[in-house]
Amino acid sequence: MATKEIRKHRKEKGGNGPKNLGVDRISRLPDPLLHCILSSLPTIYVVRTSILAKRWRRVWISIPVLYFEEFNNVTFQGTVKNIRRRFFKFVDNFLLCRKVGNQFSRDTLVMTRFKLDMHYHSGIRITKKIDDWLKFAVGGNVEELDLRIKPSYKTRYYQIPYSTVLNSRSLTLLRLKHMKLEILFPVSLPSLKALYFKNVEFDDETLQNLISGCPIIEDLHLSMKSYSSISGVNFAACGTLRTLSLSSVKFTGEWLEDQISRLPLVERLTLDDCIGLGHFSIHSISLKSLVIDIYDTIEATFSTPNLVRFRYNFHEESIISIDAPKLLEAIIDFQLYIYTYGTWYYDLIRFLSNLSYLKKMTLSTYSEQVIIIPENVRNICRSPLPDLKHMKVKISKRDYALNKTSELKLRDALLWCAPSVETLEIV
Amino acid sequence: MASSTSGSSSSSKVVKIRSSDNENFEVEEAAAARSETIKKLLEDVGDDADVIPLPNVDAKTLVKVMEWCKKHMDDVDELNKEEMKTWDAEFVDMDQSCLYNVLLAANFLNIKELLDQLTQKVADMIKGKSPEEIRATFNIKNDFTPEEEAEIRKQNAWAFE
Repeated sequence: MATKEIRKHRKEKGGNGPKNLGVDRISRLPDPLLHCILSSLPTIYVVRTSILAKRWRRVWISIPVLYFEEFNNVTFQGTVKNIRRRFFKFVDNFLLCRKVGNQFSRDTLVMTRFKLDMHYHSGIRITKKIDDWLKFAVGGNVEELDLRIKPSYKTRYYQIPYSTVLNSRSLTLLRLKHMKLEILFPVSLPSLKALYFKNVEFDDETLQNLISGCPIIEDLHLSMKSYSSISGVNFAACGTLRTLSLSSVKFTGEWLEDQISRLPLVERLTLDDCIGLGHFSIHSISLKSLVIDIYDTIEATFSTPNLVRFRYNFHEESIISIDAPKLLEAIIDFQLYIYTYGTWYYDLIRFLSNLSYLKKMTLSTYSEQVIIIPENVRNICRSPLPDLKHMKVKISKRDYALNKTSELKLRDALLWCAPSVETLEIV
Repeated sequence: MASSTSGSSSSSKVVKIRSSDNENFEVEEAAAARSETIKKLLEDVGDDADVIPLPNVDAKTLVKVMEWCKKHMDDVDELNKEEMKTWDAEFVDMDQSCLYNVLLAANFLNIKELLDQLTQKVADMIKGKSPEEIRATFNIKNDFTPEEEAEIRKQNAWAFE
């Protein structure tokens, strides 16, 4: 009988989602778990659960994560102006209910995260409204603030209010997307542990004023809009930093060397599409994970005795030498290359020889051609990876499956590279 | 094929745990310690621990939870993120009754990352659905009278426009 019911049910809802057995178990979960479930949804959907059943009548009011999103056209339909009007009305009303809820509940309702995702049309009224919302969030001791306030065409950027947000005692995480930041005075964010900037515009002074006010920061992710230089910034105040990820920024190799030497705890370093590096040499005892994806030609030396994982986007003109005896695994990407030319295979062998002590490696490439080292080269070079035990090759080219001959050729070349390999996987 | 994780991690000390239906399991300590609850119990009892009883979790659920813990024993780095994502997506794809059991177990055992993945899975089942569809998906019985339902829609009209 039970199976019948399931089948009927699946038919009704088009067979999506796991099958259910006719019992309502979700309504029996305690509020904190329901809140966990609802927290990833835009808040409007959370409020809409109020009409499901009596159990759900008031679940929404105390949700700890507030997530307001203007863009989703499933939420609000109509003209742009109409959507905006309803969005503002929704946020205003929700926050009003929260304020009332705060007055009637014994403890202040907990707010762990406040996320705002919207377009910004400059104007005093709108600016004042967003200021008020953020003031409410900071006043409610919010821990994580996630803002994407994208300026509409030719209008000005929204400026985060200095006196509230940038002086919050409770904030542990700040995430900004598509915004511009201008900070003229030092801030004070004593609890901040993680800072994520994506497509954010800022200058040296702003960044310096910001990070100098974050005494316990651990994660710093900077992705800029326009390759601005950050060579004037000093990370000396961020001695607690464990993760540093720099993307689409400009700085010199000397600057990087100097900064890394000031970060005794840094474990993860990611350099993605950065410019201006040139020559540099990094020495770090703490570094465990290193990711390099740079289109410029660089010449870099890494002396990293505790490095465990390494990912590198291969560049045939760059020279990388890496001294990392504890390295467990390396992933090498060749996604940019389809054809080979010049001294390609010799450059590749020279690079791989750097990792001669390695046990586990993944090669990720668009075309298998670029890693099939030809016989004439094999005859005059030494196998670059004598100790390698596990090798995985990922080929992303989708237009045709690897044929038998190419696969044999590839296997042959890989076995020459790594003669003591035990597992060789090609996917 | 299943042995994609290399057993290269440090010394593999084993701990014993017991499910609510009295089945004993031996689990690597590093895996069991993904649970803050077990980790704390282990610290409290020290080395003389015989078996750690878990009165709220049955054997079937415990097997599932420990499968996840074993996979997530080592720190996941940027590098293996993709593979882990695929594995996790397959893991949470289970029938609803199992899903709630594992969810409650993850909550009791205090395994935050697993709890996040499971609650996200349930949230995905809610996303984009009308109230009627949500009720059907989860077998929620609407115990409002039509008047009561209309009243709530009126009160919160700003969310139902």
